[in-house]
Amino acid sequence: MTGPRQKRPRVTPRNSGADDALQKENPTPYADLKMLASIARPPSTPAAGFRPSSSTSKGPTPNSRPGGSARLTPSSQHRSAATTTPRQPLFPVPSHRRAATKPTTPHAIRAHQLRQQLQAQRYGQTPGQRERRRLSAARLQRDTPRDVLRNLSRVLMEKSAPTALTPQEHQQQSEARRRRRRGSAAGDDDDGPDIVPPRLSMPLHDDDDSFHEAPPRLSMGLEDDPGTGNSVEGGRRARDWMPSRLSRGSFGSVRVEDVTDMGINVGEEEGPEAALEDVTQDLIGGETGNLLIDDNTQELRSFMEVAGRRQSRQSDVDVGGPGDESEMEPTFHFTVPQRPMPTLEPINQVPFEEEPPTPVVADESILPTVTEDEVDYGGVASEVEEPVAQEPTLRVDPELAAIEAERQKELRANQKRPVRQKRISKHGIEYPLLPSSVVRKLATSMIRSSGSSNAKLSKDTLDAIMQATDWFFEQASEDLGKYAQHAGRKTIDESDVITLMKRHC
Amino acid sequence: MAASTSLYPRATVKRIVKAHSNRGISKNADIMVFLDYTLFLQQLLREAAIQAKLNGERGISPQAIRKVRETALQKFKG
Repeated sequence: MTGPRQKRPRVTPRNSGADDALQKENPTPYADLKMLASIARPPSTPAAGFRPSSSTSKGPTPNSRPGGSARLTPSSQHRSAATTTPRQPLFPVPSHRRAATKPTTPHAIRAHQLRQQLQAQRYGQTPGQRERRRLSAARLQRDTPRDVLRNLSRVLMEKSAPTALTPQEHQQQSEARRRRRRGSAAGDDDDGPDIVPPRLSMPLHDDDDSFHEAPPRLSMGLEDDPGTGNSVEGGRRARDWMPSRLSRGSFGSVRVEDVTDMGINVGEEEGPEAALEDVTQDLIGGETGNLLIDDNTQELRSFMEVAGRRQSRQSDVDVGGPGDESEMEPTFHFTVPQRPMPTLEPINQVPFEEEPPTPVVADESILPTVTEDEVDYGGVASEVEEPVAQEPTLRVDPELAAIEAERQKELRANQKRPVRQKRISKHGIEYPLLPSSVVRKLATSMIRSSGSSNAKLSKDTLDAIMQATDWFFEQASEDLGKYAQHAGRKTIDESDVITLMKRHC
Repeated sequence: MAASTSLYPRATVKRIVKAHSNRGISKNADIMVFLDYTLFLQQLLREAAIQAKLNGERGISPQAIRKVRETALQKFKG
């Protein structure tokens, strides 16, 4: 420890005295070490660093100790210990020494000179200056890449904001937040990230209360995932709302119509598969082909079955082209009541209908209503003694096709009916719909006031809004009725409405 | 033209509420109901606008409304 340190102070002053260039070079490592030491252990290092320098007077350490220097070391130690900063003890000590005892021995004198040189060196280029320089240099170094990056990010942000705007809002926001954090960590203004969120929300709603903004995003995020999951359950009463106007059945059809896109996709997917199946049937024969495809695409079919069943009126209309598909898809609305019928009839019809066009078979097999049919007609199949895999599909197909054709006619008729027709509530009371003109007027004014430039409402949109309106009134008035009932009243009061409105505020 | 007439058919709203709740509705409660409906519609359209924007559509599409109306309804549930 002491050996190398003794050397160092000797060397540095010499160099510093000799060369200016060296002077500049030398202090930096030294100061660095000092700095390090000061950081590492404030009290002890200065003493350690100082002691050798005081003892640099080669011989006199033993000599000086008994004399004046004996005072020095402990005092310096004390001082250094007291003044925690490492540099200060170095300077005040010699000054004291100057004042108190001038070095007498040549060694001491020399040591003193060296120390003074060191001092001058240090004072000349004060550590503060050095630090400043270093910092400024560091700043320059830091700044340039950061600035570049910052500028880049800003440029990129501006460019990317509009393009990335459409698909995912969540990610953008989180990114923006991240960037903001980064920006704040970097220390300066973060204009780029700040711009993004307002852009998203700005055109849509300007003056609305902000706490309403959060839910839609949340709901959308939530809705995306369970949209498929819910739809599995949701379709049960999908169609019931039209004739019987059951209250919650209507929600089912929301999903029904939401799934239409998927349904259409399914239809597209079915096309090639049906063709494939035709080919396979031609090549191998119907049963094996069916079996093969059953094995391969079981999961897909189970999914498609759900989707297909859930296909709404719209999808039926939209699909259009592949009529057999839409025919084959049993909408739940009809299959439920008429389930018993097909179970009885197919037995008679099997021999006649055993040669229906293969695509129909393919479709039916694709839609795994097969599984249901197997459940239903399992006994029948065993009676007739035909291959189980193909049988039910063959039997049911023509049946369902005929029934479905009728139903679809009804459906299409129904499709237009509910919009205009009077409806019957849960309690069997007829009620009108709010006139669409009123709704349109309201909605248009709302859209216009919300800042959207395109204040037009298409007919389909208005229909969707009307549907929502209907549901809303149904839901609201049911709730109101419950509130009134709870309050023991026969009529719905304003207080009920207030309660209702308080509930969802 | 239409502005001079009433904002909405009060009788219709009353009848709707009456039919669904199987209860009478007091004299002015239907106005509140309509206010509630207005709020609902506003919420619906706002969310639908957001949805449409997210889907990159111009204006509000029926799909956007269909996607959003359920949540809006949930929000306005008693």
